[in-house]
Amino acid sequence: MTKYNYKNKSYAHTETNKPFYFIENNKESYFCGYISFNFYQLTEPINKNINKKLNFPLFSFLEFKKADLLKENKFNKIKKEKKEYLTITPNSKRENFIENIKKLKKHIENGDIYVINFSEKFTVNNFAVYDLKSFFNFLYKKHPFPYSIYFEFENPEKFFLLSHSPECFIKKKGDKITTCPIKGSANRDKNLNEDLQNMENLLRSEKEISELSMVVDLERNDLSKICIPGSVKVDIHRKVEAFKTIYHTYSRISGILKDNITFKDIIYATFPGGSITGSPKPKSIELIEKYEKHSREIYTGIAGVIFPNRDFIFNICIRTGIFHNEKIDYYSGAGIVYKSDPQKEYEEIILKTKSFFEPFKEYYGYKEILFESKR
Amino acid sequence: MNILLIDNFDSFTYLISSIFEEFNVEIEVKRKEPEYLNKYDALLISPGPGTPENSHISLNVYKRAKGKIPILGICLGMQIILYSEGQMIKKITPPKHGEKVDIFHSNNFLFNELKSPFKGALYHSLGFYEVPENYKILAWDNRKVIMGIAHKKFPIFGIQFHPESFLTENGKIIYKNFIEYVIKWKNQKLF
Repeated sequence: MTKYNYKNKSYAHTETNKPFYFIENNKESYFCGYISFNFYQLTEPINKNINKKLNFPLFSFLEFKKADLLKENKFNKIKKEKKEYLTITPNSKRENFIENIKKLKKHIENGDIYVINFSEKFTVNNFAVYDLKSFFNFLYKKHPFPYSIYFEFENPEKFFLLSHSPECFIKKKGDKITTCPIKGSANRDKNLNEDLQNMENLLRSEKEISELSMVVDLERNDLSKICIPGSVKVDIHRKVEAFKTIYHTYSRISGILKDNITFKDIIYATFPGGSITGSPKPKSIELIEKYEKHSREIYTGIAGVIFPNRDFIFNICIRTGIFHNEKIDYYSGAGIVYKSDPQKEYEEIILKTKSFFEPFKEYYGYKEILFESKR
Repeated sequence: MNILLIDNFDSFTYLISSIFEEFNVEIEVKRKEPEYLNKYDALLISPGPGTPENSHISLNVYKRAKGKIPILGICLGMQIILYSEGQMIKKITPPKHGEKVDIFHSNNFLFNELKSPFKGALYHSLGFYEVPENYKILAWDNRKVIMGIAHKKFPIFGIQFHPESFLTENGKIIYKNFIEYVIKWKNQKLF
């Protein structure tokens, strides 16, 4: 784990003119920050007349002069909240959400898209944010997901990004660029036989096989825009990664960058990630905006670090909570394909949301996690 | 050699263009209709979302290029060619997205060096079981869905599957074969 010290300045997106110029202008600094999903407005050829309110800047970066490597991450003693229940409210009614999945399946049938990632927003109200950094350390110790991130921002007002992400969006090292999309997951089981069975079912699932394959082709396409022709390779395809509580299947695609490609070029060629939009990408984003009631904002955007040598690493902000104004915004999504069962996809989304909030019980002392249905 | 690639807002376009670049072909990707076509040696029509009838730019460019330079349509690109020749497009159920299937072929030069069947990647929910009279079928799958076509007289070709997908075995060869054809055509104006 790395801690960034001695903050110098912060940069937020306020105008569309020259995004990321500060990265090229401050060659000795580290930059930590995020790019929100809605930044697609600048990177993709989409109708821009979407009137959804955005609460956060399209990107925010903090500049640092120094970074320290932390040997251990301490967390404070567990705090007790007075409230007994943590109540999560979905942004839309269950039946409406399921109805929208059915409509998206129609779009797939009609040839508009091959696959789409469709999400729901959840809100927790009356959550007084305290000790979040310590909670993050607690969480990271319990479930050390490799792309976990904790950031604090103060623009426009104080907000916190707590990401428990298993997925790497993009990593640049020298002239090599790598992306590792994840598609497909299965729960771990305490019983060894069950556990192995879950993994085998995941590996055999035709739905998951084709979903990941589609993302691999999409990422190959995006990397081809900025890489030397012929250098883009699928290094790993459908390998299982075992975490404490979950199995994932992922692939790794890499390429060698053409000369003089900047951070901005890379983001414009590849953003947003294929695993959280769909294919073809522009049409998928258009349908996401049409059928999702909420703005995704930081969810399915990316968060990470840019190093002084201009190498960088960014996650995909899934399993990511945004804490602001005594509220938590959380989002969860599912890959919809022709074979998707709408009911099942919805249950999956609820389950995934519940599992994010599960550790809140132990740390903050909640008795139960409840879902309040939308009235 | 300079090839025009019309992009139907797809997520395969740059894979296709990078393969042509790998074979040292200059390729221009365009989402708008170009004013002049005479500087191009061939036209590629990309895959993409939606139906041929709504792909106005590609339909127009196809009509302008037909009979003048070699044309290769991929997926939606092939559908645009057949649609503009009056062939009705059909819904294929279940659709195949990101799946590889056996592709059988009749040894047209496009498939030089490829055995029959070979594995090809599909991303489609629309397709054809028949072609108009002036077209011949070059390839098909085991559902009898048409996977490759050629005009009997003009240098017009189409493929329904995706040679550029990593799921397609040796897919690059198909583009190489097309490039070789364009070189010959350029030198001899062969039809």
